Amino acid sequence: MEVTFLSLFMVFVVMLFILISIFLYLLTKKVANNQTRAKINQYKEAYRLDMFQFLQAGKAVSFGNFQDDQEKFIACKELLQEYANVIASEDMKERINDFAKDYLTSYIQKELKRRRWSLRMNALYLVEEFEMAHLTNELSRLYNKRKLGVLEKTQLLKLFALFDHAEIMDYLKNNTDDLSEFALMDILSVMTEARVEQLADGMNDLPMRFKYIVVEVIGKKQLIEYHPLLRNLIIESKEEIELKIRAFKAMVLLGMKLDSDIIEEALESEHWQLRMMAARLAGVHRLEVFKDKLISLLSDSEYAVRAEAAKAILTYKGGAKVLQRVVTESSDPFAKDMATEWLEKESVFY
Amino acid sequence: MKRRAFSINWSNVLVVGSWFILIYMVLIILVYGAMLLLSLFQIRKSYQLDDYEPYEDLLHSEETKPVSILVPAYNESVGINSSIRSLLSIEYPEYEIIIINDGSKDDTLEKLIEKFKCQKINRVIRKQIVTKQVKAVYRSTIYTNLVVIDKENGGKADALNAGINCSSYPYFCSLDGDSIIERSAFLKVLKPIIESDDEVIASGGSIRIANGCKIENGEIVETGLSKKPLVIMQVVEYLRAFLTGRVGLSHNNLLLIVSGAFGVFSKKWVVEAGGYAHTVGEDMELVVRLHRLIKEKKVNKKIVYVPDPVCWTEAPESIKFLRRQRKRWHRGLFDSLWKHRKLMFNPKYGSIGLVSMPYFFFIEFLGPLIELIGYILLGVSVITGSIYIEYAIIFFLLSLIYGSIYSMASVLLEEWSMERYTKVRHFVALFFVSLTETLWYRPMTVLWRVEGMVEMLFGKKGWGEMVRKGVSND
Repeated sequence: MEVTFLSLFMVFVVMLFILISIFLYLLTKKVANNQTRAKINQYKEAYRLDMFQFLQAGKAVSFGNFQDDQEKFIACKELLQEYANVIASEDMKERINDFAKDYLTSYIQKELKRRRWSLRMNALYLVEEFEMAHLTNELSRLYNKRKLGVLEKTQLLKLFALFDHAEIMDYLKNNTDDLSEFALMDILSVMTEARVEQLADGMNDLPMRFKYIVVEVIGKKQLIEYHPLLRNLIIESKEEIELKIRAFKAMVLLGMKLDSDIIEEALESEHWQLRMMAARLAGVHRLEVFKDKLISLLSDSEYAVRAEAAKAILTYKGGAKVLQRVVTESSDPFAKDMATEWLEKESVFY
Repeated sequence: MKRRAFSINWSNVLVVGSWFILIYMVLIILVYGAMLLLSLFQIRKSYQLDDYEPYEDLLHSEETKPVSILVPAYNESVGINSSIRSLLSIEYPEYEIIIINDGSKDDTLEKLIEKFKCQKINRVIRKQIVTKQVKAVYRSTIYTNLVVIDKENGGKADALNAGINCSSYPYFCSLDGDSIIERSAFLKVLKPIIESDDEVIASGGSIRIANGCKIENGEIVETGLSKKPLVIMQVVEYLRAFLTGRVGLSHNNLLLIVSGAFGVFSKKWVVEAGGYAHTVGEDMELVVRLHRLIKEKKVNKKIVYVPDPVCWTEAPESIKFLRRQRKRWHRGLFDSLWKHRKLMFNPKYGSIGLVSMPYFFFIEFLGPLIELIGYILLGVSVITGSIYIEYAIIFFLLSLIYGSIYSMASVLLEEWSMERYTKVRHFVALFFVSLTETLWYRPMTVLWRVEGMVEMLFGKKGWGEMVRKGVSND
């Protein structure tokens, strides 16, 4: 009993001692950090106007010696980042990137080697923000060296895609099973058109997941020359409904027409996404031949389908009158509701 | 001598009882310790991650899922306008706000209609979940994505269900009327859902205490700490519960609570699970039910917790209301556990059945009872003589460890991995107040939780009312 008591007491004392030591350590760190942060903020305010004038007109900066001082350096880096996030002008963007290349390169190289994940991620975001293609070698090293988590891998692949790294296609084909479709989409959407076309040409050999994404990217990047590919996918995908839906969606984005019988089949599909897409297509191309079908879709069980149907009807000549008639004559509360909602929206615009 | 055979040897009872209690406490210390360690490396990883860059793309992406923000309101007249105003300026591409006036007895509805210039509309509601009657639906003419539902009083769960019925989007967030959400919180809490291709079906953020913060126009302008020890102690408690409890559990898909004050759910899944149930701890109960549905359907879905997005809420500043709150929470905990008792130790439900449920029952639920018995035995042994003085000291040391020591550790963990309280004096206050936890705060909350248990046995229901101060300084 005595032993238990004493050992427990020791445990308690040791824990308390450890905690108080950690507390004192964190306390001193906090005081120091707060002071540093105050200084950095001061520098930021002092340099702000100068930095802006430099970015806008190339006027030489007065804070030339900022590389020697840790706080001045961070102040400049943060200012640069802030401007990069809001500036749209090409000239200014170029100056920002040049400045980053000249002064932030070695800092970022160091940060990429840090142990803590969040610091590496911050560095990777900076590489993206400032378009630092010259750091590709470091990125490759990082990619191959560590066991990467999903977010880090995605960001690296995105950078490889952005800078059109030679290995990007290989990297994508191997070792990307743990990436979500969203992540793959993120990566492919910054790829060069040439690369995307490479993927599209080899569509048949791609795993299904990649097929989905390539189809979506074709739509997003408006690669119109691939519309026959999409059309074939729509016609041929009998069981692969998901692929059919995405191909349809991409066709809509491309603004291309589809054969009437395909649209008609889709309007009656048991999959609501197809009904929705078909309705949208009917609206985009003002295909009045489908007017009656769309009116019946105003009573569809899916909100999104009803909305697209209403929107499409409004694109027709006399579409507002059609909706008005639905409001007064229809017995379906959902149809009336949707028609009313879109008539209200219509009047807002005029 | 016959008599002896029938009398209970109290001395033995005391000894056995004491050992049982002490062993239980050591068990708790080990479990909490493990959770603390699990969280340690998880959160530190994200320390100093840029606050904007990781979310920049999502802000402009079409893939970012639209969200319906449901705000049930009952007698929220005081604070409602500023909270809604803060919701209107959040950083998120597409969302709607649905305020459900749950038959308020004050002028909550009138205030809303007047403030946001609402007009009655003919919105048809698909009754996917049964609720009390909806009397009218209004839409604001100045903010077209703001809708107000007026319905018969039915309780928070019922109000949320009505909101779900009325919502147009595939995801919804339930938010308390008096909470303040940080602008970037939605992007942060939805990020795991968006990026996981819908594998994540629910995601929760942290709750922090707003008392003492500088608030303007429904936004936290400056983080602050109340000067009242009772509130400071609650801040510590929340830090402990969120940072150590949830991070560790979430990482292993063991999370049983997505706090009612701030969580995002997939509408489809919640409707399929049946919506919110009318119970005191409806948020926890729903999450348990979702876990159950996931396991029964044998799909690979997840429920996660993200420590960074924060929802700020008002904490009770008086003992009276704190007590009421704690009793209610404990009753709610039991409600959820009892309703889903089938999962307990049931291997069919994987780690939820084998780890989470037992944890919540034996440690979170029964814990206070056993602690209370410990205190009582402590008193008894002190009175009966010095033979048990050692028990008293061991008991005290153990409760210092899992009380004060762990709370101090949580404060340090927060400082090391998130650093939301930037002022030095706040950090110091948090640390030293947490040191005193075992001496006053913990016994108090233990007593109240046991009270809650007792009241439950005698069938008390309901929420009680808290007098609102509102979270606006204007």
